[in-house]
Amino acid sequence: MEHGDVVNRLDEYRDGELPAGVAREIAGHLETCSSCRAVLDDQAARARSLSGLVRAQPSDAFVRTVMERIAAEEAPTGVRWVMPTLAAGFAAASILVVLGLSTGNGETAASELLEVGDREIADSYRTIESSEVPTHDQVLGMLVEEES
Amino acid sequence: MTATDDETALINRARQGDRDAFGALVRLHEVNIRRLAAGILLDPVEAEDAAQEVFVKAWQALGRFRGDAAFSTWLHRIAINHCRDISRARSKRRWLSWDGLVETLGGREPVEAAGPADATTRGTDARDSLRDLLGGLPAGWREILVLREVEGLSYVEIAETLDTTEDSVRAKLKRAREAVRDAARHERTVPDV
Repeated sequence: MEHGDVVNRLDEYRDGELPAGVAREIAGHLETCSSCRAVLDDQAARARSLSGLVRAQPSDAFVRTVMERIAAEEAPTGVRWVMPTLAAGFAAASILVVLGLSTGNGETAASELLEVGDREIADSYRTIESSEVPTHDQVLGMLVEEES
Repeated sequence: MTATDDETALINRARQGDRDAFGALVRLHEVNIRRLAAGILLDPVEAEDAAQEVFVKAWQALGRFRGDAAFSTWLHRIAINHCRDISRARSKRRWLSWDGLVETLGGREPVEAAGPADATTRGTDARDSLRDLLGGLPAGWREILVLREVEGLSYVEIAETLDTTEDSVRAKLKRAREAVRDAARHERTVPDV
């Protein structure tokens, strides 16, 4: 193997990523070539500098924090279920209250109309009620208009 | 029982919801993941938070770990993806920030005058220069360089982690090393150990 080829493959040699035969050949060359040995040393030094740049020691605090974060992520899962359920419940209750109030008014108005025997007008009132929910006074106003 | 058997047992227990078992797995791998995040993000605070998030994500995704790759490879993959997300968000923030604007317009923020270098600051300067060199590499090259030089992964393991071929790893690693070498030669600041 030529000197230039060896230089080109020194990184892979250092990484232990060459086929055994090629690695043996390079090892033989390194025994006699001080220039290649210097390149190899330089590469190794640079690799050590890189790995030394980001040191980390085992840390109990890190493990503890991770486990706390996991616990916290799971606790809000419950809260995430509870909060929307509460919110949905509140919204549903609000809708029911509104509907209940309007239905209450409507029922009152409708029974009054039934009392006077005018089912047709009562039905039409129910139709109006389901869309715009007019007030009691509005309904009476409409009836007065129809009669006149 | 071998270390691998131990780890497999821990993984199985953790998959069934055993947090203590997962805690033991975190203990086994935390140093590697913290180093990897630090090497890619080059910001110790951001890296520490990212490493924590990697384990939280791993816990949440543990049910999807099939064991096709080693657990460490799977963790590395989560870490790489998470660091990429952070880098993208960081780029976006920077693009919208004052620093980014100054950079775009070609200006430079004034730099604090440095005091005379002594033995202590020389080491720090050299580390800063090396960090700058690493930070100046394309993200893909930096990932490979860190996986190899910091984590000591083989080319096959790097290829598995990055879901690429061994040849691609070989080529990118070579270019990354050449880039660092050239930059260091130009700067003459890479420390010799």
